[in-house]
Amino acid sequence: MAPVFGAPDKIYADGISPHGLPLPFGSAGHLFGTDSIGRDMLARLAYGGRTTLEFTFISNVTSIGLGAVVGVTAGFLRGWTEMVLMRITEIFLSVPTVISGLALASVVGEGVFGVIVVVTALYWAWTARVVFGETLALRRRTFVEAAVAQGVPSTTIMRRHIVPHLSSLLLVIAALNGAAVVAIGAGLSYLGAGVQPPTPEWGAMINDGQNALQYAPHEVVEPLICIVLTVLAFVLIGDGIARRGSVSLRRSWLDI
Amino acid sequence: MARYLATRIGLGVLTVFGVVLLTFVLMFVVPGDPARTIAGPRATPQILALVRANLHLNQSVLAQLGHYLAGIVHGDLGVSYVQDQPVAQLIIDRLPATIELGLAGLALELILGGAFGVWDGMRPRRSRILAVVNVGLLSVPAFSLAFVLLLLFGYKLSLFPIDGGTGGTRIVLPALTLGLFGMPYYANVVRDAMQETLAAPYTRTAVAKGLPRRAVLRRHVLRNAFSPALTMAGLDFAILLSGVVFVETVFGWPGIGQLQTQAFYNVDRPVLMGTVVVAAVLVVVATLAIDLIRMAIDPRTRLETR
Repeated sequence: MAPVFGAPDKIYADGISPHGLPLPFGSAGHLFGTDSIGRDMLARLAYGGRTTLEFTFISNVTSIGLGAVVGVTAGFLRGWTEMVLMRITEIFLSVPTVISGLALASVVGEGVFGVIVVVTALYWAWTARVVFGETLALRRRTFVEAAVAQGVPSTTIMRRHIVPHLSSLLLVIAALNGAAVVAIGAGLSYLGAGVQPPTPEWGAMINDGQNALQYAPHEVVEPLICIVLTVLAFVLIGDGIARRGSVSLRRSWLDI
Repeated sequence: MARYLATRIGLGVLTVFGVVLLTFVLMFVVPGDPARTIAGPRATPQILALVRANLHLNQSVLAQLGHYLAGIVHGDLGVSYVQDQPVAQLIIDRLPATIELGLAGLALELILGGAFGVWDGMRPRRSRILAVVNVGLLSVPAFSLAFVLLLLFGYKLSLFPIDGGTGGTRIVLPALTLGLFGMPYYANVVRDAMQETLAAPYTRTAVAKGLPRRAVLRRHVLRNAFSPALTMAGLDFAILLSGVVFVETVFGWPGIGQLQTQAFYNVDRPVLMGTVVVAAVLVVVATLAIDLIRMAIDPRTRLETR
């Protein structure tokens, strides 16, 4: 889709007004205006969306996968496994994501790969906690008890009896976690710790445009609207699934 | 109570220790030579050796961890690579600003969320407005919300200084950002609790014995309805601090969030680590404090005294 809107990195000669200012929203030839060095905003927004979906999709899968494994294992095995795993989960939940995210990003590096690693490391614990609670409840159900009594190996019970029952919960988590990932990815990029310029990314674009806030607010407003609409989409999907499947998640998930 | 406190403090210390351990391992596995960063590219091997010895970098990992932990106990978080000042001092200088903003934000989200939740909780059916506002605010990340407010109040209406400015009004926009950001969660929780308390037998008893409506609300309903909101405030304190970091950056608020962002640009590892540790301590302490406040307000959450 994105290439339809043009090249994101091309600096247009007609992208800057005779006064040296970026073109505003609605200019002929550059419908969404240009940024401070004359790049087409529409093309950058489109490519930024691609970047966002890329890291959101991958880190959503990795963080939820890791969290689900930890949550199910801790909830099913109980005992010292539970104690160790849930203590670690608590530790991850007790440091503000952005503060640990910045420290982590300085180690793993920036860029899309860095965002994926940081987000996975920071977000798996949320899934783990929710899944843990649900697994504890499932564990008491008779079909699980029956399997245990028959001597079915633990890994098989978890895979065949517990995980399938978590699927609707995991779907809701995927949507809400996705919303959080879009937000934190843009946030880290805004702080300079995520996707790096010149790669187009909405948070990074806001950072680029914030100095022009006085005379060219569209440089901030446009990526801002993109972020909000994308997060909104994820939240609404999550809300929709939650209502259909009567899953309730009252913990606040989106934290940035 | 003493036993409960001891357990909570013990768990808190354990959590902080875990955080220290994790960040230490993380920072240790990183390639790169801090001694070279500090001494500069043209330092002689002797100087490098001296710097390493000063920072205990020539010792084993365990010994280094030991030094770091011993330092923390004494309030020493090492020395910044870039600013050549003790990390603890840098953080202490910035901490009051962060705490001020954090408390203002917490107060606002409780007040806004509480007001909205109570208003909605008194209605027989869930209001559409609250649902829309909730989903709307949920979808705006903290730093985006900061920009929205900045554009609206600072730029369009020129009500507040756009660059932060000075004086008492400076905190309004940052705190409002945090307040609006956290509001929907609290509104939801308070609303649900209101409905529950309004239907509870003790409320019916209070009404039946002829207490005025206001007194019933104040003494019986509100007090109970705010308890879950406080529980959530305790659980979500880390989230609030996360928001604070973004808000500090957008508004140029000189707190630990800004310190951390700068440390990131400078690859100043002692500061990055120190801030993580201090943030963890803040979260542990705040969570405990909020729990104690809740126990004071809501007798149901108190522990049996023995």
